[in-house]
Amino acid sequence: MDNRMTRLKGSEWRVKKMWLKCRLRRESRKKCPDANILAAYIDHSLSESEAQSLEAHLLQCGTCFDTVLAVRKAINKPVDGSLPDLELQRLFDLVSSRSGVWNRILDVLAGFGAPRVIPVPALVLSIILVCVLGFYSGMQTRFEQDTFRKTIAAELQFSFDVPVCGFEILAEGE
Amino acid sequence: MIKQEQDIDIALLAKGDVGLWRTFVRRISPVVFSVIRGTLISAGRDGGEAHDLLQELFLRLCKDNFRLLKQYNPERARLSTWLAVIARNMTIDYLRRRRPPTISLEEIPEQGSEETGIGHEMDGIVISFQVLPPRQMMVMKLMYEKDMDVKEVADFMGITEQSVRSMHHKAVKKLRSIVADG
Repeated sequence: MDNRMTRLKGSEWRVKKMWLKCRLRRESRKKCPDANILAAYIDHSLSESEAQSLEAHLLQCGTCFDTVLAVRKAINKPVDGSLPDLELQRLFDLVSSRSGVWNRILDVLAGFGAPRVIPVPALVLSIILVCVLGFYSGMQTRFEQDTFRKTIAAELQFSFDVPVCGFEILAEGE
Repeated sequence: MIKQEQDIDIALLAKGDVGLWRTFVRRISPVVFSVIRGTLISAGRDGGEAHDLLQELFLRLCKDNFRLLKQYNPERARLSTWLAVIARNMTIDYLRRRRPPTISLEEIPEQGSEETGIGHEMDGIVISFQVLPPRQMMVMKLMYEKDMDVKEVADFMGITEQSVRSMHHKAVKKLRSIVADG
C-alpha cells in the first residue's frame, strides 16, 4: 500500500489530484450502525444494497471508516497478546461463577420477557409487599371478627367475654 | 451464512462453559489484542494498556450474565470480527475518557475525519451520492486517499478486482465530465 504512491502513473496522478479537489455534499447522516452490521461488512456478508447503504455512512463517518480499516488490518495481521495466567484464571473463575443456579433461574425468567436487572429488587419488593399485605389482611380479619362478635352480642345482649358460636346462639334464641 | 470459528458454540459460551471459554479466549485474543494495540498506538500511546483493555473486554462479556455476548448475531458475522469491532469501540471510549481534562470534549474531533468524508479542499468540486454512487465513491476514496491498489480495494469491499476496475472507470469518467462542465 505504501509503495503505491511512488508507482502512480501520470494519468493516475491527475485523477488523484482531481479526486482530492472533490468533497462530499453534506447529507443527513444516519446514526452509527450496530457492531453486528459493521462486522458483517468486514466479513462481506451484507447484501449488495446493505453494503451500499453502509458505505454511504462510512464515507461520512470517519470513526466507523477507521474502525473497518483497523479491524481488517488486525484480521490480516494478528499479533500474539495472550493474557497472563493469573488474569486468565481470574476470568475463568468469574465465568464459572456466572453459570450458577441463580443465573439459570434468571434465564428462565428472561424467557418470559422479564428483564434480568429487575429480579433482585423485584424479589425484595415482593417479599415486603407480601408481608404488608399479610399483616393488613390479618388485621382486617381480626377487626371483622370483633365487629361480628360485638354485633351478635349487642343483639342478644351478651357480654363481650361470652364465647359465641352458632349453636349457642341458636340455643339461646330458642 | 458466514463461516464461523470452529468449536465455539455461542449458546454454550453464554452459559459459562469454562472449557469452551479457554478455547474462545485463546482463539480470539490475537485479533482483538491487535485491534486494541493498534488503536492505542495510532492515538500516540505506547500500547502498554492493551492487556488491561483486553481483560476488560472479556470481563464485560461476562457481566450481567453475558448480556453483551448475547447481543452477537452469528447469522451476520464471525465472532472474532464482531468482538474486534466491540474492542475498537471500547478502546476509543477509553481514549476519550483519558484525554486531558483541560480541553472540553466538544472541542475534540472524533478519530478520523468527521468533517469531510472525502477530499481535502473545502472550496473544491461538490459531489453527492446522486452523482457518484457510494460504491464508486468508496473505490475512489480507498484508491486515492488510502492509497490501496485494486486487489486491496477488492479485498476491502468484498468484490472482484474486475468490479473495482469497472467502478473506478465509471467514477473517473463521471468526474471528468463534471470537471469539464464546471
